[in-house]
Amino acid sequence: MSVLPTLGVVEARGMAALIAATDAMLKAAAVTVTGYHRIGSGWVTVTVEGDTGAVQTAVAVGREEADRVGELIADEVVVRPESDAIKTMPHPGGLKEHDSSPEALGVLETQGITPLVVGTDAMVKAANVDIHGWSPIGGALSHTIIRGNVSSVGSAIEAGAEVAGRAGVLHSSLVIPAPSAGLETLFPARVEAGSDRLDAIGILESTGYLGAIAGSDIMVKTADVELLRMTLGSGGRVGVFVKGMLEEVDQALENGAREAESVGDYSAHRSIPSPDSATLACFGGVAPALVDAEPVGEAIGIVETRSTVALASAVDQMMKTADVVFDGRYKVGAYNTAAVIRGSLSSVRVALDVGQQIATGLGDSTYAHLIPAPTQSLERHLMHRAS
Amino acid sequence: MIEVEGVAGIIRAADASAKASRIEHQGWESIGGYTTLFFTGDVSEVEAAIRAGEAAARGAIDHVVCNQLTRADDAVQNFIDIKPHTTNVSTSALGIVEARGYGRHVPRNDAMVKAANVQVLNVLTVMSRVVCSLVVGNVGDVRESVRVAQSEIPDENLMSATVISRPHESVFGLFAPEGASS
Repeated sequence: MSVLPTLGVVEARGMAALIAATDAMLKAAAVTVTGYHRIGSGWVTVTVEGDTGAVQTAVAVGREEADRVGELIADEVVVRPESDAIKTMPHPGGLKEHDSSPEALGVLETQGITPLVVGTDAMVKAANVDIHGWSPIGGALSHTIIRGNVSSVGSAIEAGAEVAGRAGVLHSSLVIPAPSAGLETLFPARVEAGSDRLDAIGILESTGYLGAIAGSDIMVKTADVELLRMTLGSGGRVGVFVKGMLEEVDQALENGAREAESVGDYSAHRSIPSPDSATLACFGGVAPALVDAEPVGEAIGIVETRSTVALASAVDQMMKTADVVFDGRYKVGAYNTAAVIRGSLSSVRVALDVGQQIATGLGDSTYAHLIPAPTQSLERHLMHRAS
Repeated sequence: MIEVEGVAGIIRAADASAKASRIEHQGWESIGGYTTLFFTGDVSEVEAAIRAGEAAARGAIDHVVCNQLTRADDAVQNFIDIKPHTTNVSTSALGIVEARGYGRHVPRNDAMVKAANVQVLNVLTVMSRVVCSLVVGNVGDVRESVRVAQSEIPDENLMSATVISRPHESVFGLFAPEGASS
């Protein structure tokens, strides 16, 4: 049986720390990246292979770098790994295949979606840089990758970090002037910037699905804005994007935030005047993401909790108690899960009372909310129907 | 239904409930950190299954939530993501080692295979940092393998490490990869 090359492992909390560690490892010794693993809560791991000496050198350097930029979780060297132990690695690979480039690289990493979106917009407005997408990695952490010449990436990251920090929590920012070949396997290819122009967009962010639905409903009913999409972030965060004239967007956000806060778990909101077309392309474009949804009843009810047993029990009892239809469930992440029912206003009200009582008895952080007359626009953006 | 933090707890619950009562496992699902096992049968059988399953799950993990539904509404079916499949696994023991973190998992999984004559059946991740290794072999080898994982690889993030003797065959239809054999 052939002996497998030595395996090196570095795990960090946060993608900026992992990318910095990986770059340092590739520069320090002759190793190749063999895997990228994401297990939630912002913990990300890279595996490399090579000669034992090279892997030892690489891991020692990678550990230092992860620690310097962010939070190191684990570093390991496995000599003569058993193929049986390696082949069963969960979701192995996950590596992107696209061309390597000598351009500088920047990472902006935030807690929540809102600071990331405004920070990304600030980056592309500050300097001539390309966006290589955004990703959520759990634990509410999300990041955007940019490329360009060293000075552009430097000023973009500086501007992005400043704006993101004012809008929420900046987790890390990183500039790598000359990234090593092989590093590009950890992030997506360049996002084609569109040419869309909008007066303004707004982002309303909640922890959980219920706050996002409630906030969306109020936003479109109380201001002249259009829903663009709901986006699942990490750590149970859901972002709602709206577009309209700046004044209307601000009015919608204010009302939506108040509603999300009173019925669910509100996180943040922000408007962006004249968003850059690259920002719009990065976060999904201006064409609304729609699902083909026929309204089933005149009202919708949502129950959200932190237990499947609680939610399934609540749904069972709601169906048995009132004349309502089960419309679907949605897993928000970070233990949150929600179910949506439909029916007449009175039926949904009766069902929600029963459902909330049962879910509260079995699960933590239970919320229930009734939307008496959902708009067609809200209907077409509900994420549980798209999934 | 039995819900636990991580996944090791419902693997133990699936085994204990199938041995203790005449129920049929319907599958399981994960909401990122918590997993839930679903099974059906006569009311008294389901009650017995929950008693046995809950006790077994508590042997692995603290956070356990159970409930039973009489004549459950069809909507509940929508909650079951992973349905039982066919496997051809024959083993006298199943070792389960569950911890938070992937970095330490890699050398620990390797050490488990090197320590004794065991085969890695599967590695499950259910997010919230949970990584769970399943190894199979004879009882002595599996015990030794789990012992090494537990005591020689110190890890403050270890959640549970257990050995199931003569695991019920239905466990593999739920937690082994589809078509697995040993």
